[in-house]
Amino acid sequence: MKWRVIPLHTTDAFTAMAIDEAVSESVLKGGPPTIRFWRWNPSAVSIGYFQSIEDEVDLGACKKMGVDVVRRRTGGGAVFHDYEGEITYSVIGKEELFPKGITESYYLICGWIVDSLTMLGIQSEFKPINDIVVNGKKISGNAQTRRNGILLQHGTILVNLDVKKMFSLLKVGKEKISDKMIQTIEERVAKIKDFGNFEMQSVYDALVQGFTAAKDWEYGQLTKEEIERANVLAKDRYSTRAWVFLR
Amino acid sequence: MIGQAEEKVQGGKLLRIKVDFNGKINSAHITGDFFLHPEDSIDQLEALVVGTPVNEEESKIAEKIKSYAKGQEVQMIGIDAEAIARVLKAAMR
Repeated sequence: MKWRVIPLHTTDAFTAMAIDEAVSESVLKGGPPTIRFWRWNPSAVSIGYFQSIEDEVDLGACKKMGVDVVRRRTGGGAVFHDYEGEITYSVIGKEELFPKGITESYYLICGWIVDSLTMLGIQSEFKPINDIVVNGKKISGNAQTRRNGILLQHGTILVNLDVKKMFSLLKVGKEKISDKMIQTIEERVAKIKDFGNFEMQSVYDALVQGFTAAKDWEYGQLTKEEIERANVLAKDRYSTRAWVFLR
Repeated sequence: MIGQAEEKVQGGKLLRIKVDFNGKINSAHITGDFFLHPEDSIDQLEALVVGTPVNEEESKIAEKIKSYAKGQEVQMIGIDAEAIARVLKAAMR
């Protein structure tokens, strides 16, 4: 079946999570496997399904800065999604399209990102469990879930990073945000801007190439049903206190 | 009593457990940046350890979790049954 590629768009955190679920449902009903690229607006913090929101997020700081907070239905860690700082993707398809092993399927999908980065002249590699690194520094985090025979993997590619802002939103420890901590993170994290003055558009173009290579694919949009379902899920689940504060 | 412990599992993820106990475990809350498939099995996993005596051997707790995971085809990534048992025991010290 032909892959559907939904071009780069912008969405809020709750709708973003809801679209992933709505598309998973439509794939289950026979819809096309889908690759979607998006940016978060407003900027947001997402936390892993198993994380305690109170342990991970400074909710007061998020509110003050107009940053949304959402719980993902995938595991993994807390991420600050800066509108100016990253491109996010989702890959959704029937499990049979991917290797059975979870690590192997991370390898496959993360390989598309590695190929995209190569096109930008950045040599990277997949580092299990769920990271892509450049010279040992993390440039991309990814998270996968499987439900009802449908695989969903989403992840981010870091283009730029405001470490101070990130630290003010995430609870990174009891120490004050020191220059040393900022330096430590900068030594552990790589961003595309470290390798040249790439525009968001050129990063996105490389991602489309890397994700679609050797695939039968076409550009598409969400269907009316998917949009309606996503709106319901955003309202009734992802934006509710019960979901965000689940753990 | 309420106890809490955490561990960055070697080669894995952060595992943090808060436990309410009084001779035996009344409730346990397992959080962290690990992966567990399917995700909602975390509720059963938390329920599984309720009633466990505080002095239960760590290996027995791990065995119980392993057997549950095997039976329900629950897959843990970044943590394992031994780590859960270890952190649980540490939280009750």
